[in-house]
Amino acid sequence: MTTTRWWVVSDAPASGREQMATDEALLDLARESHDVWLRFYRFSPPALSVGRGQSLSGIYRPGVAEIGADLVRRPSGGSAVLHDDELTYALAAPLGVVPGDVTESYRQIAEALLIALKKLGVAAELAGPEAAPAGRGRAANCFVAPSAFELTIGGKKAVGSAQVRRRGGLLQHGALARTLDFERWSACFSAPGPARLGWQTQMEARATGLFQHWPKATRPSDLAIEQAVVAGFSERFAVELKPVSLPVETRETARAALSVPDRFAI
Amino acid sequence: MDVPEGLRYTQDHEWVKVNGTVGRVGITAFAQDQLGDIVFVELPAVGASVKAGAAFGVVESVKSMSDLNAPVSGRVLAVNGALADHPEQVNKDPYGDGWMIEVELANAAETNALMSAQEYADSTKSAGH
Repeated sequence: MTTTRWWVVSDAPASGREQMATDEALLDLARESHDVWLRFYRFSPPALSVGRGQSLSGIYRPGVAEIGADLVRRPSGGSAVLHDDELTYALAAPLGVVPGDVTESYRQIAEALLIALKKLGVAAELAGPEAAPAGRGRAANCFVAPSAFELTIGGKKAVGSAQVRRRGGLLQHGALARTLDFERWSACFSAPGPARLGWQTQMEARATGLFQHWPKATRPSDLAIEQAVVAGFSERFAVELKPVSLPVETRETARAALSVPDRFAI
Repeated sequence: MDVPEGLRYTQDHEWVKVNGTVGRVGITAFAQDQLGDIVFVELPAVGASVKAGAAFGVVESVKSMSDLNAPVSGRVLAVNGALADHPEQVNKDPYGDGWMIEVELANAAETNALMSAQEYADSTKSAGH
């Protein structure tokens, strides 16, 4: 029985397709190495990522282009997220490290993030299982769709999360949005007009960036957020996380996936 | 947890019910319980080939996509199209209306490597559930 090691990769900004291909390769790496890999990155250019099982009927493609964002298909589930003023994390782990059913694994990871946010001075809370709506409808926009064990600030959704599980491993995506620009978000879901304004109003009521109302100069850097999240996982799972570069073979796996032209594209 | 006799089971919580040269495939009651409310099911097209142990589709629940792994190899003869509009059938009736695909068995002996109902029930208990 080998001990599971935890690694942290602070990665470079890249396009949505590149980031999704790398995350999928990261999941393979976690399954094969039996280690946990926590990767941080940004989307450049910004991207609207759509859940693997999500219909495009609620997405307004001209609006996505209008704000200069790419449209990309995530391997994980859930609804659309605009990755804009955001640090993204991907946690790839053997299933045994985050045991229990799907909802239970969200809870454990959210507890680590809650510790991180407290360290950053953010008064976040963990919503209980009652936050999950009854029924099976899916909102097009992740940040207006409440779920169980979600991190909220003042009752508003503050972190979006989604998972993909493949034999023996899980990959969780999380959007740590510094701020949410409701106008830009709304453009992704509706043509200009009352419907777009409706999205904006709905988002303002239900969602917030982590540092939405903090003066710009006081918002933590990517590095500070990364360090807090690493400390959160370290504390919650009683482990040490070591910084490392992504293995060359994993980059090659990601590059090979991208050679299929429509992979992760929409 | 319901584990019907007469079916064969995988460690990944799929079942296959063999009738002659055809195997009907779905996921177990334990699996649907672990997944939670299923909101999306993606299945292969009729005529596609599936391979024992390899993914043949995905289900989505609680913002999580999970692979479906084939218990047997063969050609897909039928797909439960009702799941596209009613994925909840998998939760409500995993061994009945929640079936997923029917496969023309390429090698009937593959089912010998799968678990019996008793073995599967024991394996889910030993997993701490």
